[in-house]
Amino acid sequence: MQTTLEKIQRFAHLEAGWSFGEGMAFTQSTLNKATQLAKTAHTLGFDETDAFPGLNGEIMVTVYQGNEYWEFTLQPTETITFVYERDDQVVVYEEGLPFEFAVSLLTNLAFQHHHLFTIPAATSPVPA
Amino acid sequence: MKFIRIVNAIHYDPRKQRFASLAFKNSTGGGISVVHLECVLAQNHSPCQHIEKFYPPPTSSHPLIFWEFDEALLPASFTAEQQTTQSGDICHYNLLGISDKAARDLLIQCSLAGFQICEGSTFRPLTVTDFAKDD
Repeated sequence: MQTTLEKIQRFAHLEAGWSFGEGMAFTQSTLNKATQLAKTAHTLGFDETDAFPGLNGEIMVTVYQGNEYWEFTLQPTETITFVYERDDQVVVYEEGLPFEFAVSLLTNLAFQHHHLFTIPAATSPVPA
Repeated sequence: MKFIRIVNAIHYDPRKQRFASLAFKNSTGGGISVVHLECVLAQNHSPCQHIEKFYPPPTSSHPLIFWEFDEALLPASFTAEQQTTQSGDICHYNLLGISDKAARDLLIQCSLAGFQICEGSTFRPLTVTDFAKDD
């Protein structure tokens, strides 16, 4: 199975009309941000990820852990639509979030789920 | 009124065993692209024949998958605007007035068996094993 990063790289080769006549090509900026997000997830210890191309030039990066699911759709406008599901039920759906939100959320989740780092609370970059 | 939405296998999420919401979402400024089923049948086409004629797949090995649904599933605010495609499909409509969130909710509530995969001019319900070769 191809990795998430390989999938995102392949999206760069999709040309206008790639999905039965629908589908825009992807900008380098969106590809770069999707790559950055997938790399961040992997670096933080999230092994289960995926990516999907959108018809409007957006890219969805998904993260899975047990019964939890996080979905980040990077819009060409550089905002994010975020969805969080637990047990296949939508808990959070938010549109128009900044890209930095996704990185911050994943970092926060990594602390909660993996306890990856040992940083004194006073210097932690994770929002309370 | 019944519609079909052509679904790209690239949007199948094997971990969730469902299609990602990107498979049923508004185009920028243009609503959600669908085909009016009764119109297709009135032309003596099966859905699969119609898709193959007007929406040729990117490659010959690309499976033709579609989702058939009734307008009763859609929010009351929706309207359907006929728009003939460049390929000449007079049965093509754009569904307007459906938010991306509402569209997502509709799609992910549909089980995999609610989608159809073409086999020649006929079709059958989609199963998880149809994606096994892509792993």
